[in-house]
Amino acid sequence: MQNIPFKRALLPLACSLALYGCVGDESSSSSGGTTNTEDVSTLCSSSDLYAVVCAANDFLDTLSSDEQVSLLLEWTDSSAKTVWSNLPGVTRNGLALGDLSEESLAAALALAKVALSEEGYTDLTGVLAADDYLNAYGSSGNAVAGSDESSDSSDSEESAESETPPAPPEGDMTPPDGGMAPPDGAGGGATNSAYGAANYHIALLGVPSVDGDWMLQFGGHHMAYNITYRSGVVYPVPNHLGVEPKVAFEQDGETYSPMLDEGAALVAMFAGLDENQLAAAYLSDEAYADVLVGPDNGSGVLPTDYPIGSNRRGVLVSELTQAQQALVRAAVLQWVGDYPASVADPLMADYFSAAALADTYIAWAGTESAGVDVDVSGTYMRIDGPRLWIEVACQSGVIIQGQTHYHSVYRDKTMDYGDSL
Amino acid sequence: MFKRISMLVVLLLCTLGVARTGHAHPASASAISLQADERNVVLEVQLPLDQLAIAAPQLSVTDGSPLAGETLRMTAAYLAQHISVSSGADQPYALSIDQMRTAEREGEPYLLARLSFAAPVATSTYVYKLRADPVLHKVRSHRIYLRKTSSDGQLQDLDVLHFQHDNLLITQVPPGWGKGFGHMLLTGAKHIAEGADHLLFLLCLLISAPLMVQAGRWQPRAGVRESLVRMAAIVTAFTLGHCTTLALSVLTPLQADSRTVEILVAMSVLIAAINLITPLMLLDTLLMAAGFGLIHGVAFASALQGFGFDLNSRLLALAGFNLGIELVQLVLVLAFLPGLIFLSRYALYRYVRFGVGMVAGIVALIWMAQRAFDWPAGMDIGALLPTPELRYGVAMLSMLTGLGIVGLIRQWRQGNELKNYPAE
Repeated sequence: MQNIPFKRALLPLACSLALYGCVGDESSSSSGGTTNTEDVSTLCSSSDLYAVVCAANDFLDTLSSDEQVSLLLEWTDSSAKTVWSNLPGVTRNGLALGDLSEESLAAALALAKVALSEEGYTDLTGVLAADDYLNAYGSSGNAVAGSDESSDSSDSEESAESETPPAPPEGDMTPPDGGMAPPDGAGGGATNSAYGAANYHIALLGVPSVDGDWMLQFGGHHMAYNITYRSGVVYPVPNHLGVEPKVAFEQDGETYSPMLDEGAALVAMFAGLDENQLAAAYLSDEAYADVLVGPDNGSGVLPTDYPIGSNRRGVLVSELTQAQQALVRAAVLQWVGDYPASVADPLMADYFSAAALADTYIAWAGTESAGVDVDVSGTYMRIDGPRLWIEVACQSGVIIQGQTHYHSVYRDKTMDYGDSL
Repeated sequence: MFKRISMLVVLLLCTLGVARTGHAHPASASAISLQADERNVVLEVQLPLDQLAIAAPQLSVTDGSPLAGETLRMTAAYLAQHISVSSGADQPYALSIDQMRTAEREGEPYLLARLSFAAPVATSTYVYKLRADPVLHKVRSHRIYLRKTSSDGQLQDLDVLHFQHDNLLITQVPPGWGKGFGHMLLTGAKHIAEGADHLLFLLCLLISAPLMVQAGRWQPRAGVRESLVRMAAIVTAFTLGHCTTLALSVLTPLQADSRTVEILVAMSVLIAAINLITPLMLLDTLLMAAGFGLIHGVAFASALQGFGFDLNSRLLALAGFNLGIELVQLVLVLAFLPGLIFLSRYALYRYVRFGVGMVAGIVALIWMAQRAFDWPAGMDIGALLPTPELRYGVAMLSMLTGLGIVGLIRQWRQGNELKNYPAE
């Protein structure tokens, strides 16, 4: 193998070269191959893609070389590409927002802002705020009844909420539980909580460029943006968003409700169905405690649990009326529309082609008598196309009890990670 | 490459972290650990009650109330319906439920059950198929973590069952007769090559081979041929001894207490060492080789325990394992033989004999103390001996072997007549 640390040290330089090399190409016809600041800023605003590469380089420029080494991973590392989770307190790639300087943090958020649409960025900041809210909520004496732990007990509760490998049965060789693992990346402060925006991570896999292969990861508890850039084509999947609380909340004087629209759009989609359609869309004999195709947890491979054959059930979108189809489109846009139009439009066109709609099911599960009610734990909604995969699961509250909260995932069955694993 | 490894480490830590934080809230995943012996596959099943209630509300299994009556019957039927084991050719194993109860694991209520599946007549647990979809048949987002208890008692992660992946074919040893045989051959070879006590015992016997007892003292033998015959006889006796008990241990249900056997093995090294220092008149070396060979065979057999074979695969494993032992033994004898014979022509040989005898005796005493009283605790002489010291020994002996071969050829040219060197 090659000398990776050395290569890594060269990456920032390569990043700059990648952009300015392109600048040279573009400007050679108009300004004789010279590059200046004005050209760069013109170019950076010339397309969504240039804007993202410029923002990535601006972010890199704010970092120390040590930070750059931590931020940048190998493009070819399939395991690293799949490192994401819905859980707080687990190891993630790259740098924690809480460890960034003010300048770097602003640049990181600026990068996220141009990589996403306005709606997408609002969702991102909303989920960050929700985690700060949970952090404050958990440590302000609102901890779950019956919990005898201090603020970071919330870590264990949330961790257990999802796909936690259980302790092996008794009688085996495993030592008894020695207590909780400390949450990762919290900086070891006095309030060492796994919650809070400071624990979210940003990472780059490969050298940002407008025509090369690279990936931007931005994620933490209830958030995973895995945006892959391959030869100028953008694949914004897999994308996980969740939020607790799912209703509007106030944090630092601002009101947030990051997934209110998403939930409402899906509920409206099912509300648009008539009684028979709603019954046909119901997944009898199926229950969902969480999304089906959840975090890849560093598996390094594409998931294998998308339903196939007769397990693909529900109501075909092609059999819906125009008005009903419009509600499906509006719901899908809540996820796909989180990315710039240049990314979202071609995807929407593909997801809503006549051929795709004839193979796209909408379905729900949960308590049939309750209907599609997001306030009922176990309510589950999904859109399952030949490529498109959107799921929302409503789980009992973890920190804020007596309410449900959302877990959602948006995937593309064929183009997750830009099909680069 | 480093990146990949460190990522694996990170993931492992991450998994551990998650696993260890799983307390004080309903964990939603199930776990099944498997252990198979020759005739049975035993599953320890652990299902979270909250998820079970979603998947099978009719069971009404609740935490704290003992499983009894109708609940017990229905829960047993549910487990039988959703967990099964069959042979590779889909013949079902017979289920018996050994244990079923609810209990808290890290603060969360689970249904715990131990299910035994007996292999049908004339099939082996060599390959079996597990199908398990408790909870999963309904809760599609559910995960069942499979772990396997290997023959050395270690739990290892096997797989995660999930939606559209509810069964798994499990093989007990590397598939294929040839591969299985080769595997056992290597196991046997490795076992003796790393078994310092067996090697030391054999070395003590071999050093005495070019010698004979005269008036209660060791004297060199007259001819090379005699030494060679003697060496062959010693090795054959040892082989016959350990083959007998190895076969008995593997092919019959007879079980020996491994601690006792280990102590006896150490004692055999001690006696062989004393015999080297001064010949034990009561015990002929051949008798010693055969007799203690029996004990060493029982010790070898312990390495073959828990392999879960049927008779055919056991026989094959036995043959492979034994052949591995004999091959290594043969290589060692061939490596030591010329050097020993060569050295035995000189007065120097008595120091070799005495030195090896003293060291082997001391080491054997320590082994006996360790094995009988676990003292000194934590000390592993066995780990010290074979490597790298043994490698130096083998290297030196290889040089001697070369010298020995040259010397023997010269002597043979001088008319097969060996001079009698003055000894003690």
